[in-house]
Amino acid sequence: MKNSLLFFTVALSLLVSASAATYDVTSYGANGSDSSDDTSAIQAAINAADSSGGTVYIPSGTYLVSAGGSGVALTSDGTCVIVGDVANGSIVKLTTSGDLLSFSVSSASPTLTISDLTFTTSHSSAGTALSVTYPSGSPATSGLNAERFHIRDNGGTWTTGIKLKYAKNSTIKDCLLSGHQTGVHTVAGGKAVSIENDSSGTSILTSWISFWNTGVDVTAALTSLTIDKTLMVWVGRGLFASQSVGALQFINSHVDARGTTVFSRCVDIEAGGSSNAVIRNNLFIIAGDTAGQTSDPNWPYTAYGYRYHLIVKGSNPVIDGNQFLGSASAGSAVVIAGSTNATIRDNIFHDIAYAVYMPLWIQSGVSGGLIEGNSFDGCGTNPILNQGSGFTVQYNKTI
Amino acid sequence: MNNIIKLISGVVISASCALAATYNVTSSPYNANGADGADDTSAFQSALTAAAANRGTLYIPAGTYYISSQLTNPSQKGLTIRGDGDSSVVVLTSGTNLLNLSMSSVSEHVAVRSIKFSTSSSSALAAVRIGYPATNSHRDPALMAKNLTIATTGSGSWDYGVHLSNAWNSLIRESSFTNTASTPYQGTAIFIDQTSINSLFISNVLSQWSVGIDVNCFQEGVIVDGGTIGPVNIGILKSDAGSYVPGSGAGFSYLSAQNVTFDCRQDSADCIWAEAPADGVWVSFLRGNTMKVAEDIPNQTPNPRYHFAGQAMLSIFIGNTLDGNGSAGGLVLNPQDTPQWPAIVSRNTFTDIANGASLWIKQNVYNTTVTANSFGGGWFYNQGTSTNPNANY
Repeated sequence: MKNSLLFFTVALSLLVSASAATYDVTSYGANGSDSSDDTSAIQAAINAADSSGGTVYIPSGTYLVSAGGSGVALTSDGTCVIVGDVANGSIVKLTTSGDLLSFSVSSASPTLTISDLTFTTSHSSAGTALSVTYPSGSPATSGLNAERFHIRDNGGTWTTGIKLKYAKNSTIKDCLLSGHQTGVHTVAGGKAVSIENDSSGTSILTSWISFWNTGVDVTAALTSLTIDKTLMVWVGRGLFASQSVGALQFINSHVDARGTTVFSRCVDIEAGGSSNAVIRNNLFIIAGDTAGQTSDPNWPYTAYGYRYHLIVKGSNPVIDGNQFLGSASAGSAVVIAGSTNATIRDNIFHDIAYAVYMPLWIQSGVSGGLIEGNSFDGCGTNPILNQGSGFTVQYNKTI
Repeated sequence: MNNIIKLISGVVISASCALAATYNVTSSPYNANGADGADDTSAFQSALTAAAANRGTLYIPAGTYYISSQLTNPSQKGLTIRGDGDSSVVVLTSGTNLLNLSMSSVSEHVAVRSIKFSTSSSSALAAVRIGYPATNSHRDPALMAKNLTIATTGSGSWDYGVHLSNAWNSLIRESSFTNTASTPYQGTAIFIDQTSINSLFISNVLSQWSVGIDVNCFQEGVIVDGGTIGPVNIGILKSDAGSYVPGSGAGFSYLSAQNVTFDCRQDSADCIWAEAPADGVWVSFLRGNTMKVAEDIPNQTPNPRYHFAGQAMLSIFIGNTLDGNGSAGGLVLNPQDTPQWPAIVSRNTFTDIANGASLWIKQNVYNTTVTANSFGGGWFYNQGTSTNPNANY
């Protein structure tokens, strides 16, 4: 009886909404104002929209979903568009462990669109809020298009906000990605955006990322990545790339990396195969929470350890017009390692008191480059440790 | 089978599916009429009340609607307000604000897009005012506006385009705010006050205002990118600032303006003015902007007009073009009160600046690095201490 009723409801709602190709989850039995689980109803709406290329509409309300044995509450093949009324009005809440929504795409071409809604969780070990996987065999031509999409916690904790696998040219724009509000930036895990397989061309634009261990974590080689006009405040690490990144544009952004663990850094490009990184016009702050700390063990640099504003490896990095603020505490502002032809120009290094030997550290083996017009203020009397070769060093100011 | 159902339904059923949380002002029971020229205040207020109570969407179809007293959200909840672009016009005919939204909690969020707000009243306050409670906890984005047009009708004039109080993480993009042209240079296009942190203003056009963006905040970050601010009197005004405790990592102001075209006119015009109060400390980035002053009075001896006038501390000016139109202008670095923190002025192009210095580093300004600027025959007036000039021409 229940099944036939559900079938009738589905058929009816198809009749009602197909002309606008909009599938309202409440027409499938989802209820955003009660305490019952809405997983199957929302999944039915997604299935209908996926089969027709329609829009799943999630009206304002709080909808509860749960991940069963599959570990994923909701899945889509990416054909549908998912929209709500307004972020923080249309809320989908994961009440279990596992993932909330998985776009698992079987072809290379669909763009996955999601906007004007919020994913949250009340579970202390929730997985990924939004997981995107394109086929590994045939390179994708499209990716995620998330706009005015919020990830929040509701007393729970996400492992990952948005996970990208094999997507191309994804855009995360005008989004708020907020992890656990209390202290999660000090513990392991918790990534706002995790790029796990080649998802080159990803752009994160005009977004707010806060309360994560890592803002953007790159564990796959990328040919390009853009982070522009994004505020990463209260993160352990802003961008951390353990694999090579080409054509990185990290520009016009603000990173405030903090946490009592010693690994905090604003941007860290660890892989020597990286190239052509542009780090421009950013405000980077380290250790605002441990300001004036006099026993900060920030020397020497070891991979993955200690506090740094910026670590760059690879060829042709340009570090131009940034400000590195150390709160009288933190470690090296900029470390160039395993690199060639580095340009470090017109940056302000300020108040990096316990790194008196190396606010700017060019490691041995780095060949060629320009260090010009930088100001070092409150950074000791010998702020540049240049162990590289072939650098032009001019017009800098030590205060 | 699915296809057949869809085909049939597409023919038989018109596109009238009721979306549960979308409130169309022209639908029953609200019945606003955008074609009759009559007042729509009560219909709008009823629809807005319902939409906000449910954090839904207030939808305003194409038409011109008239409002005679300010619209509020009694539930103090957020919502989306959406039109069909500039053909959805809401005109404030009298009263104070057009939209005055007060929020009960920092978790409320307002989205406005694809709509035009106008006024025919010469004493209008704000087209959109949003106020939040004053707490210092993490917040959700307060306002996201996209494709919002603010304009005037007849002799109408706004005091403010958008006024945000205690609003964190606001984003206004691809919007056009124009105040009255008949008595230009009145009001403020975007006014943020109280504790409003981390606002983003992207690719907007702000014209015919006294002030483009007034940052009247204690502690904040503001990123302005792209678009045009002008013609206005003052582009960005830092009218208040907090006190910064060195080493605390907090309590400073952060402004980043890049790729903006400034066009600042009339007496005392400034593209960016950041001098008050005296204890204001900020971290600023000005990069790639096209800054013009005095286009309205070229080749005259003017009252002071500057491309930038503000305290020199942790400020970076790179790659801007500063055009004085033969009259005025310049980048003026004023002393800060206590620390002698550095500034960088690099790779800027100063052009056609007469009757004053192109770059004026005042007395008691310390540690300015000045590299590779093109002064174009203009005057670099250096009264500072420990200035570090190199390769300028």
